[in-house]
Amino acid sequence: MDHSTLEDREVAALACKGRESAFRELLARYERPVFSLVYRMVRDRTLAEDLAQEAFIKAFHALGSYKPEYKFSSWLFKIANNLTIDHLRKKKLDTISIDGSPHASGEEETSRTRFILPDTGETPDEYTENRELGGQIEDAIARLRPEYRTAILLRHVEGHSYDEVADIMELPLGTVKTYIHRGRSELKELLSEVAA
Amino acid sequence: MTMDPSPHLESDVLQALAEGELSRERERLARAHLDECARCRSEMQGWALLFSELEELQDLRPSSDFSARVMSGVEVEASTPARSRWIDRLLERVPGVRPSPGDRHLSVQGIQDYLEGALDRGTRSRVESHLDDCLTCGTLRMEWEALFSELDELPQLAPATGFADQVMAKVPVAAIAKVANAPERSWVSRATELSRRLLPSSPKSWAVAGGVFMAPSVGLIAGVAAVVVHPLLSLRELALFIGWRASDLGSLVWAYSLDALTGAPGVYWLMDTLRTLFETPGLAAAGIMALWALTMTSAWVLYRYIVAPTLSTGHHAKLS
Repeated sequence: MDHSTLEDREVAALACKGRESAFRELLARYERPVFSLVYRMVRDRTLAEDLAQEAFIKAFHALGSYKPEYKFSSWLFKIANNLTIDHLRKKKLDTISIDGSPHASGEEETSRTRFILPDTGETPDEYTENRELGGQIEDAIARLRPEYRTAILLRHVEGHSYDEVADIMELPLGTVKTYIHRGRSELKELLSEVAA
Repeated sequence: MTMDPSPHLESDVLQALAEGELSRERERLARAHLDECARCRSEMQGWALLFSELEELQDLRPSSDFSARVMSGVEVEASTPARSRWIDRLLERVPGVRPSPGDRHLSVQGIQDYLEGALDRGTRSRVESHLDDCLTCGTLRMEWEALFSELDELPQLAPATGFADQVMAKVPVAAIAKVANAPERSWVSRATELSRRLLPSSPKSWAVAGGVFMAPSVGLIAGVAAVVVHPLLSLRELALFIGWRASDLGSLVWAYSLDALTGAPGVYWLMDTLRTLFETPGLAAAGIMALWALTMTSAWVLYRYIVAPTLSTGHHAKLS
């Protein structure tokens, strides 16, 4: 049966009825977007596939609790994002500091809340090339702190509205706007440094 | 504030004198001292000079466009990078290109909002007008447009072939459908499940719950024991006492209930029977025995599941 003309919520309802083709349709629609987000967050293909797979399995098991009035893509991205953020938090012990919290009120707090990038022992160039994410813009995105990166990717690559990004990240709308504005400013700065 | 016993006036006295805060009598004394003491007179002149200079300090005012800057949400000159300000100074020398007086540059956030179409019509129109006139902001807009374009063109990345099959291999479609289509449960089953959740789930938690509920009876039995061990009181007398008390209570209940139950068939018979039972010493003794047994049981349960496991854990820890 062809589900391509159906809306996400209709496909999800069919999946709830036990139609395997509906599950596959949801996978076909979202495997690339979900994988892209996770991959750009963790910058490791194998790990990204594992996390994306886990996100889909978790979402499918919870399909019974999915409410059709909620946007399916936001619901799915929220699951994937939470899994990714959890993973990054668990890995934070093997990290190096780069920056501080955007909400830090002083030097001490900035120092305490330094953002963490996985320390793989590679130079930034090696890091990028080895992870198949070439290009200056990809490299600059990789240098953003995770919350900025998620917000930028959801907004620009996935095309979500600010409201949807806030919903997915479970943050107030104002905070998300700030993250996106600051994230883009940092990107611009990073790119101009490279150009210079 | 003291003028004595020091031979000279203290600085707080001199400051108070300079401010005119001394009482008339103290001021007279202070001035009398100043007439005679050159050192205090000199210090007083120093204080008077400082006070005079402080009073002559002028109010500092912000620049004339301070209010406009505060009230402007979008146009904030301070957010313009140093390079832009340098460009401005250069452009000021070029006729026809210089921004009109009073114009401020768009903020970084303002340009981003403009490019995303997040501004209302009025603000958008003002921003567009500014962008048409201001070379600096026009340049910035192009830089931001380039960044937006790069971000928007980022490709979606595909997982390895077979990703969907790998996921589906771990998705029990039938089980998910069964859970998703399970009928709505009645309130009885929900209440049953809730009560099941509230009930203790392990022997230890049962022991704790039992211990908590039995604690009052432990206190009661301790009280009874304290009375029973008294040399002038025997168990039989205590039983009789309790029996009498119970009988009194029964009578009380009887009196209150009588009005409510007047006319009901069999009530008198029932009350007579109850009174007989309460007045029987054996019944009171049986009640005490039951209470004792219950308390001993709770004490054993508390020991078995709370005290004993703690001791044995410590023992094993030592062994290991």
